[in-house]
Amino acid sequence: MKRATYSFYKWLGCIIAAMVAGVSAILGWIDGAPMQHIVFYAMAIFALILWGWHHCSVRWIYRSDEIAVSTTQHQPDAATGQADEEYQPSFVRTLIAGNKSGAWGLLALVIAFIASAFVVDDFFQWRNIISVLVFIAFIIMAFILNKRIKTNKSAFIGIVVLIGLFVIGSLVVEGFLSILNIKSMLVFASFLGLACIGQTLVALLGGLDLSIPFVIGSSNIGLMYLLTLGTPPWIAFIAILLVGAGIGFINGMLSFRLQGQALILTLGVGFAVSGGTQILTSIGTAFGGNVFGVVPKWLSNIAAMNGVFFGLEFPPVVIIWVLAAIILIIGLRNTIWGRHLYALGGSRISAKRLSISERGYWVGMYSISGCVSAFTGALLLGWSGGGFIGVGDQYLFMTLAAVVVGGTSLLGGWGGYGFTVIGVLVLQVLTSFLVGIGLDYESQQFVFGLLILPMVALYARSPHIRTQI
Amino acid sequence: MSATNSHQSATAISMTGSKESGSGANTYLMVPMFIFFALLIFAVIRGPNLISGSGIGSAVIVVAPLILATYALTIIVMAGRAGVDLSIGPLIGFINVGMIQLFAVGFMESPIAFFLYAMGVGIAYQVLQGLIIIFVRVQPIIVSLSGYLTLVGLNLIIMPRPGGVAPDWMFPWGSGTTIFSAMLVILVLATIAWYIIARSAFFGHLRLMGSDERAAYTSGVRINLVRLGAHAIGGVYAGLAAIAFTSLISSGDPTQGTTYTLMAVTALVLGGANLAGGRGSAFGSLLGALNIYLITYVLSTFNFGMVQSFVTDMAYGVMLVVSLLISVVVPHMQKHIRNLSPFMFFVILLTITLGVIIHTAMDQVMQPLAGASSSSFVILADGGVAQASGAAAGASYSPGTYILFIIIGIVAVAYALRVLFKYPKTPMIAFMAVMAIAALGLIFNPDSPVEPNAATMEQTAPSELDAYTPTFFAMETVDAVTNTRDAANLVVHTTYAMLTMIGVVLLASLIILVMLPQVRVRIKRMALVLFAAAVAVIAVGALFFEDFEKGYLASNLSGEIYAVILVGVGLFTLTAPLVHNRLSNISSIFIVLIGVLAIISVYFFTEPAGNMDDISASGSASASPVFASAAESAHPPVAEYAGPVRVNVDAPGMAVHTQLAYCAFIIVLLHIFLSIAMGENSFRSFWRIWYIPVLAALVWGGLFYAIGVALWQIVAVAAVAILSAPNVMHIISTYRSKQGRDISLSRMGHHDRA
Repeated sequence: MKRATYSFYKWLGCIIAAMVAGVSAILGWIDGAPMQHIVFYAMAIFALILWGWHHCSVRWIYRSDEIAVSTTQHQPDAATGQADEEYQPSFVRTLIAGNKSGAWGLLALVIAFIASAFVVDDFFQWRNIISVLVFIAFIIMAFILNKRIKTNKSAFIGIVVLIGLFVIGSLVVEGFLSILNIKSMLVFASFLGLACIGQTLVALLGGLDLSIPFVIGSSNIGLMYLLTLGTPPWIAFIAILLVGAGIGFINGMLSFRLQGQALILTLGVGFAVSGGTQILTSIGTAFGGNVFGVVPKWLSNIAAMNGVFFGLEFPPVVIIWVLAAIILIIGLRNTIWGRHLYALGGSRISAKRLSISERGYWVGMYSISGCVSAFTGALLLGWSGGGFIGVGDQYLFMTLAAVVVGGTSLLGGWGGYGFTVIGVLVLQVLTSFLVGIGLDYESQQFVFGLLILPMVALYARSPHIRTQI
Repeated sequence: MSATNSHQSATAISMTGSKESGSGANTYLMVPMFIFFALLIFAVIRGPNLISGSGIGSAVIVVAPLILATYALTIIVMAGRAGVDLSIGPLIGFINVGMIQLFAVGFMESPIAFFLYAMGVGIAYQVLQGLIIIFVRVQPIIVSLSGYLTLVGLNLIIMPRPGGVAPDWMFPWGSGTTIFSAMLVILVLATIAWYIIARSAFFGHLRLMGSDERAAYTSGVRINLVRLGAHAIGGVYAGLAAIAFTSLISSGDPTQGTTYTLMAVTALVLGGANLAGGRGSAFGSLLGALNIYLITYVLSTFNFGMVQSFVTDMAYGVMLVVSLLISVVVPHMQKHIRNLSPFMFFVILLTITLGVIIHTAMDQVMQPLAGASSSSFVILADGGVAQASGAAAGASYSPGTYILFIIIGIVAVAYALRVLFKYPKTPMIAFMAVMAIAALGLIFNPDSPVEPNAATMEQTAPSELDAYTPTFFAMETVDAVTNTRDAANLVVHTTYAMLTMIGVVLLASLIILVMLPQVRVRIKRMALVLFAAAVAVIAVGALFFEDFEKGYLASNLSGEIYAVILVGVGLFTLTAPLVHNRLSNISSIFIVLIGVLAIISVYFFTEPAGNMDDISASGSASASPVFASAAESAHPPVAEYAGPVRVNVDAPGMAVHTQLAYCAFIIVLLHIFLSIAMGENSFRSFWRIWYIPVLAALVWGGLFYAIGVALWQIVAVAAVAILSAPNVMHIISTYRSKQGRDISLSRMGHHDRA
């Protein structure tokens, strides 16, 4: 048992927490915040990081070590134990020796930083230096812990990345931690998170739903169209939700026999739906595809950034998302419905033996997906105030990316909505960060593309073919 | 977790794979083929400009990038692991914008540099992707998703908005005025390259790896190498697609990524490739890409106004879903059609489609009438009328059109020769002779002002071709009623009418006959000989009928009869090998299919030349369509096109009892053919195969309706025939069984049990 390793991690966590808290306090002081706020936030950050550290890493390491110990007791392996004891003092050196490629990569990163410091003007600032140091520290930490943690790797890495982004963001971007920015991030994350509900559920079964962006766009202009027709808003809202569920139902029914090609099939349905809605809404109007009208107050209040929730200055859409997330997480973990879902995703044959209806769950998940997508589209109408078919376009790959980054397996049976929430937050904070450092949309896409691969590669590598035989 | 993943992927593969197992040949190609030809017929009817030098030329230009992109996608998908390369569109865009920007800086000038750059970048990117898939071992779809986002961003960084210019040598590539453009050469070379690759061991390894990677690994296939190879080839095709795309738009466009990805994936699915891997072909992908183009083309012929793009979107989606659903049905169909060769199916559909194409391209030249409402088309006077009035409307055909038809002719001759040498039986030789005569009669008009000879045709000089206007289907000499107006010629008239009827009935029946599973080879051969004799009589009689009044030999058959003969002979030639191959288990689905297509083709073969009675009697144009002669006005003669007007076969001179006799004759014929087709069936067992007489009635009715028989007559005949069929069948089968019993009793006396 490597007691020293354990304590090393523990103290590492403490140091990092203290460091981050200190940095935030200094930042707050520089920005001229009130002293109470500085103290409060510094303490809160310290406590949060410490708690998260313990919850996510130390305990798991400890537990995995316990498991390892219990197995080694059954099968005592003196040689490795001795080796561990021998190399214990030079832990870091072992680490580097074990990860030569990683070490080279880090070196390359440092060299790249130095090079860019020479090339780009005004690059060599203390903020940048600190952020790069923090970045490197987080990468090292993620790689170290990646080797140690056996379960929920993706969640842990997601949280680490999230914290890292927050720290770097607060260092580099002005006003990154301002109330307004956090609020806007939360609002956008809520939209993305709601859109991801369906994708997560469907992915748990091993399917994919690419019709989500089209349903979002369609419900967006569909609701506006119904409102301009003079339908009472709540009826229109419910009708849109039902239609969305109906589209999801069609998706599910059609793709049930074609589960391997659900991706393409839902894409086709999505195209058909979006085209059909546009045709329907542009009959008799002069504006092809665009619908203009007045959104009811309560709808814009729900979705708007400055919305009011029972007198609190807090966007209600975030509350909706949080509620939905809680319900889903509990539902997936603790109800028969949730367990059956995992069973089906894990093994169709076993689930069949348990007489779980595959068709029912498949179609049901797609229906939920359609319904939630329609709901998101309706909320986006409240946010934007005008119907636009392309409002969901960015969600085509974003939902997929959020699910994948969160760690839900696209093959089904592994993951959950909690993971997706982490994925959504990571993507949203990353977007906000990239916007903050002045990158335009193209560069954001570029960075996204480059980041998704390593993030997924950290935890979702499939085994070599020779181990599958 | 990784262990569960691998297990699930294995089950996923086996789940998707099990449905495909048992499909021996590439029968999955039949669906794309059918969609393709149906779309093509529809497209040609909606917009006949497609079949012309410039029409096909622009189609090639537009569709080339899509086809090449689909090739790239196909070979990568075939490598398995459900790796649809979503980044193909942005990759094309990336190569495109890079090319344009490098050209703008003056870095690249020559075509060789362009090609090297495009293919090099394509290979580099795809190999990189392949390496990531192999060594990082992340799901390919994630890798390609990552690549998609990266490249979309990168493209916009390289070129923020569409712009730039392509080099000068590239401009003629994208003009699309002629069929034989550089793009066609690239396309043909790419396709040939695919088939060369497909003959290599590498391709076999690829297919094995795609359908079962573990089996490939255990049997010693170096899977990493094969995967890299697939990606490299995909990169080459992606580079070519980028070249084609660049020459199409003659500039740089960073925003086309999403569209091309979606279109290429749709084409892939429409082409029948398996997204799980292991199955796919250049031919299928070609068809898929062409289908996409044809959908767009057909939709563009409608005027949806503002919602045009929405309709296109919806049609894409619906086609995608429908073709996927068809792929669910195909395995169920395959146990019925496993003996039908896809090649045969292709050639049958091709014949029918060519019929429609020849009709629309040659009989009328449609142009939107200026000033008229945009939905209506007008016809320039068709070749025959124009020739009769001294104008040469045929001169408007471009040389490319002639070359196209010559190519079609050469292909047809080659196929006929192949069949002839493969099955040198007497009926086959007779048939080939008849077909040759009929084809010659169709092409060459006996009293054409310019003497057509083979030398003129073969030299293919455009000017000479333009001077010589072939009058297809010899329409202008169709005046059978004039010739037989004499009371003395009434016998001749009746004979020809009878022969026509028999010919039509025989043809339709034969189509059904050779398709039916119940028919024995011996009976088929008998029918074949009978049929040969009948058609030979009709054809020879029709071709060399002496015109008493004018005193020369003239073709006496009207266009639709020629059409019937052509279609029938074509179908027969195609199905005859089936008879000799003893391939008899062909399902009823194909009876319907062939029947419906035969109806369509016959319908459209019938010329819109107006009622020949009216023409011959009054000498003026009939009510619809209205032809204005070229001499009357300076601008090209135009006429409102109100659908093909069919020729009235049962002429007014025909008495009621003659018509009744015809009906009775048809009913008897139907009974005879049904009894031949259905074999020893009693009254009880008749209704189990009710679909055969119904289908036969449908096919026959369609043919008759197409040549102008009144609908009520057809319905009455069909009803009487079908309702009376069981009784007749019962009588025949009772008689037969008794006869058979007698025969077997008598045999028992003579022979031992052999």
